[in-house]
Amino acid sequence: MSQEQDHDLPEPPSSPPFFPQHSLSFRKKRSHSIYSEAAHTSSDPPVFSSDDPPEAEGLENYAAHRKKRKYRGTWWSHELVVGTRNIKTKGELSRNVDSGVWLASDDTQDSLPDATTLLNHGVQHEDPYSTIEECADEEAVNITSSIAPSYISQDDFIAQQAIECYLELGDERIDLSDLSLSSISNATLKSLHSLIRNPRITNEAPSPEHYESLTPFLQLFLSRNALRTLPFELWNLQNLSVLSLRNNKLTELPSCIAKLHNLIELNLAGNRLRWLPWELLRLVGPGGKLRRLNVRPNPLFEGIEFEEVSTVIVDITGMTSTVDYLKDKLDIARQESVNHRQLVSSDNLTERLEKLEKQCAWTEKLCNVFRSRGEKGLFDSAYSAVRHCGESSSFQDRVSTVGPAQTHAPYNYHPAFIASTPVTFFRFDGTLAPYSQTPPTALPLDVRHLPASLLGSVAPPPTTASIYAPSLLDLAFRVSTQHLSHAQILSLLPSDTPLHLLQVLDAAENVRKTNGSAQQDCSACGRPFVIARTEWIEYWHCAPDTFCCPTDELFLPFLRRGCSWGCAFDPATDELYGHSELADN
Amino acid sequence: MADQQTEYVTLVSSDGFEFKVLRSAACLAGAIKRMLDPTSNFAEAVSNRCVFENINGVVLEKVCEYLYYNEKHKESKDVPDMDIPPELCLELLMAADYLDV
Repeated sequence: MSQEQDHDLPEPPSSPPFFPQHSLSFRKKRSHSIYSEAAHTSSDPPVFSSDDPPEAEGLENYAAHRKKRKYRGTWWSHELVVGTRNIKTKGELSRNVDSGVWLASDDTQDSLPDATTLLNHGVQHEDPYSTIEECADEEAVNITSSIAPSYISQDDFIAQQAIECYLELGDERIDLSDLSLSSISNATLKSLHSLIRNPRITNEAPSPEHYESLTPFLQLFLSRNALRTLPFELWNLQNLSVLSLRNNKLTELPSCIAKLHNLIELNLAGNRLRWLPWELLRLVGPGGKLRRLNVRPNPLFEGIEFEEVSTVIVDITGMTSTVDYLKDKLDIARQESVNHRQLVSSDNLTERLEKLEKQCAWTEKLCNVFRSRGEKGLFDSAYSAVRHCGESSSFQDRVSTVGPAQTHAPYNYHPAFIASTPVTFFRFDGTLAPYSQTPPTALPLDVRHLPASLLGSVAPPPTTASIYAPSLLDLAFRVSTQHLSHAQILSLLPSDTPLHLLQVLDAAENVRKTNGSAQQDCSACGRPFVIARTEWIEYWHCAPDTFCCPTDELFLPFLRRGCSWGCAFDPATDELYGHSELADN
Repeated sequence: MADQQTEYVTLVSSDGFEFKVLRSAACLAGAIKRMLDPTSNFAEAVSNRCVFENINGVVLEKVCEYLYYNEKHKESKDVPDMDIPPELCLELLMAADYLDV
């Protein structure tokens, strides 16, 4: 075997090489790097190891080189080619690091605008803290004028640029509104984890009581975009205190939102939400910090049809007078119906009477809840402070006033359970159980009215199996989605897999995209599940921020999903499970 | 033929393993319940023996474990999860769907 032959072969694949060949290829590699670097950098070439015998080495090296050069062409053309390539890569590398040299050059096509604009800000402004607002204005101009590289979507590119800018300035108010984003990737949001708040700069030395953590309270504004889904990385931003998703195209809010336990303000207005996740109530109750919740307008389910909408004051006196007013109206309507019983066209009247009765019953229940809790449970000083500050100022001002200082203030707003729709039961494979009605999530879009009962009493369907134990199918799904990706499962399943299993898998994959995991947590017992066995809507009064509220906004629909049939039912108290957890804490 | 409703039934895997299981536990699986239904006149109902050509012994053992696990926790509320080895999960998935459990 001759050495020439070996040179023509590509380097790595030869299995255990003989000693002389090995040393040759090794030297060749090294000598190449010396060659290129020595020609184009000012730094010293790497020193040969003292272990090598110098003379013999050198000869062999040159032999190898000559051969290569001959193959490529003349030495000058060869050097030229290597030279230009090196200069190019060097330029690309140094542009991110070196601020002074490359900033002004606009002639190159491959310049990265995000890096340059960023550095521009850093260089031009001597004191970045005083010019945050200025930068935020400029940034909008910069974003629109740039084109995304091919490996990320334009949306992500725009969002990334904006986020980079805020990161650089340490600004915790991240404004990504009005960028017509239709999606955001997880990677884009992930960089927000590295944000560090700017220290407050004063002339005096800080005293111990002025200590402030540099952990930021992120305020993320995604309003007026075209988002349909949210990346699951959003729910990992534990420091998020304000989240605005106003005017997007969201159809469902995942239950993972309960992970944002530092959330103070949440704006969901102007989306396509038909229900809210029940887990959201955890953020409102005593365990959470949520104080502002904007949900209207949204095509939310309504439990009762309102005969007449008026604005009511949400406290005991306000509610009592409302109930009295409704009762008076009800009496009058009853009188009328008695008087007009003989008339043919009394359908309208009885319908009106029913509506009034329901409205009266729901309002009375809310009033009773208020009464049983007493004045103090509902409103304390912190609550009224937030309320007044909110009522008098604009949204932007309010955001700035709700700072970290107020987050630990005692705040005692409890949501109140009002009514529940009948529970929909599913079989072990996710299909509808017999005698069960259509689940709320599968109702056609034009259904707005979803009646509910105030008692919430429900009987589980008769079964011989345990109503609490998970099904074997669900257990197997949980394990497989934990250990394998969606594509892996699909490739491993046999070709005659039933269609409904594939549908469950697809649904689980969709959940994984929004939640980060294919498993959801049962709203009653907290156990994970892949296939929901029960589903129902509960109406709660949940308006932590409003003092005055239109009557049709008093009750909000919250979706609950359970992991087993038993999770919808508590035989001991004959009541829907899980109310005491929120109401009595 | 005479003793149609025995206390235990036999589940047979594709590779010939036989599992004797309480009838009440076995009937938690919808498919087995239908097979053993005395009114159905299936051969399985007569012989009290179900042969599963598409489930092997290892998987069927796990299925039997689940049947007893479900039977045990029939009344209890706080049910611990049963352990499922990851290497069996997809086969169990198919078996669970086939057996309606």
